[in-house]
Amino acid sequence: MQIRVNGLKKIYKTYNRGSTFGEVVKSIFHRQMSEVHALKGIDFSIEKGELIGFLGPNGAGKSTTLKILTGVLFPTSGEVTILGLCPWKQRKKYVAQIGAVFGQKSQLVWDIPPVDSFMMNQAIYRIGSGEFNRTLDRLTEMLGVRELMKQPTRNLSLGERMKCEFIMAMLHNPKIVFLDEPTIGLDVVAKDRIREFVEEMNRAGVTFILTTHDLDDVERLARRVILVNHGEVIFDDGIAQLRRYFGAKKILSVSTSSPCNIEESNANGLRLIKRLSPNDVELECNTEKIDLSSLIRDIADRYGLRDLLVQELPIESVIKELQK
Amino acid sequence: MNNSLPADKLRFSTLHLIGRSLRTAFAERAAYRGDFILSFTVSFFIELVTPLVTLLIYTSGSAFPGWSMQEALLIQAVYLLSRGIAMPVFFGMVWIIFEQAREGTFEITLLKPRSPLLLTILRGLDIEGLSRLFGGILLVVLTLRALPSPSAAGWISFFIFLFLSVFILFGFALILAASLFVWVGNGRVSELLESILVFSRYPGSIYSAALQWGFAVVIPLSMIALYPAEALLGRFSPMMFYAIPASLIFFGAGYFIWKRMIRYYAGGGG
Repeated sequence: MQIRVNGLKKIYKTYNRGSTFGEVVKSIFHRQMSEVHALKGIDFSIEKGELIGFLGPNGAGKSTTLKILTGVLFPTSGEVTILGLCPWKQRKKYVAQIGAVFGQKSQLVWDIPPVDSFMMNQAIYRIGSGEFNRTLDRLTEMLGVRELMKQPTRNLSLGERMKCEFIMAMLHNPKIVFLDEPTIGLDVVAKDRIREFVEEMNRAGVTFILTTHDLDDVERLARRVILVNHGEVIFDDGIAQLRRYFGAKKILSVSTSSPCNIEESNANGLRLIKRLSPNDVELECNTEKIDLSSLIRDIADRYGLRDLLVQELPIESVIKELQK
Repeated sequence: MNNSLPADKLRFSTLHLIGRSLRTAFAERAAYRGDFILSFTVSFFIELVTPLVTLLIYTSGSAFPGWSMQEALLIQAVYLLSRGIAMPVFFGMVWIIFEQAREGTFEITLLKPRSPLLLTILRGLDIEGLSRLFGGILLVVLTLRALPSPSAAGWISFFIFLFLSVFILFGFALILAASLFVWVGNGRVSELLESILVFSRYPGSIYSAALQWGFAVVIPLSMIALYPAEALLGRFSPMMFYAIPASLIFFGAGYFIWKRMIRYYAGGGG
């Protein structure tokens, strides 16, 4: 087991203040303190080479967990063992073996070319020149950024910068990489290149823990999802299991010749999601309760089938339901 | 991951990291050449204004009791020299922590396998601040030319006291930076520091005996400029030797506060 987390708790102390002028003035002299239970005893474990989607709504406890796992934050209680080390007690030894990419926090120095920032990391991580040059060559080739190395970082596009952030995080050949919103704000081409890069690195044995609100990233990359909400793990299983969490549901996009009044059928396991026109509807079908082929035949017989698309339940819908 | 060959170990020592950081800091500032040259020049001249008050006092017929103008100016020259070393090296970190604690980006530093203090100091290196050092050296040379040559014991004591002086200023930088982990966004820390340091710029004879003791052994402000200048002038007193352990304790306290406060860093919300 590469990562083991047991009973992880974090309680923050925070100050509350009202928004009226009187409350603002009062807060200068006296602030009301309250406790926030950011993590309420989280448990999970991760094997070497896994690519985990670590998901949850804003304020669920994702970032707190990641900060503890990266050795940045001390927990209130609980145990974490990663690569045989405790992140916050053996920080230096531990962080030498991990990498991190933050979509909203840059590790590059803004006014100088990325290659200068990479050389700073070479000195920080004590990477030998031969090793450094070989890794840099390989990474710049994979991400297609060789010609950008000597341009000031401030002149690079967001996508180019993010690729350079990945190089920063991977130069020391980390065993585990934490990704926090790595594709935020990127165009589809840049996202695709980064996803390909993550997949390739993962195939080479690097463990990735991906935190994102972009479920395309999760669907494309993650094989397992850990879902947190209100400081607790509410789901921890494969992505296919996540889809089947509410039963074997499918989405049917149906176009019929005559108006499709199927919502009035009140059939068990069938729900109207959206009516686009009298003849075009989107249905949610629970295949554990209703036979899909019978349903399609029934629709064809009653309304005349013009077009039909059957899809898996979007992961987004499953997560929304779980978070309720 | 430590992939280094044994031969690389020396190469990738802290000295190598410092060298690389200096190059990065210089490259970063050189990106805005006009601003760099202007800031460098302005810092140089602003520092030279410090002794003006002393000049005004002496030209108006007044004096610090027991101190000639050249002797009083030597205190301020040493003050500028000490600041000229400490400010560019150690005080950039205060603003780095100010920004990073406010923006929640200090975790980038904590993710590196090096001392967060070393990395923050290196990130805060202020290349243009070196003009203050040149200003300090210039003033020390100019004032010493008008005074009798210091003895060998005077020079040795001066360098030991100057070293302690820089350490005291480093201690102040540590306390200020550490306070910003809990006192996030307090932009007045530099004014706070300047209002304390002002006591170290003048001869001890202007203060009461209690304050002189306080500035020697409680907050050893007299070690910043007064005692190193007195060493050059050959004016040794027992109090300056009591200030030696006090200076080390002050620095130790600053380091302890830094280590304690860093635990309070919680970062920004995600």
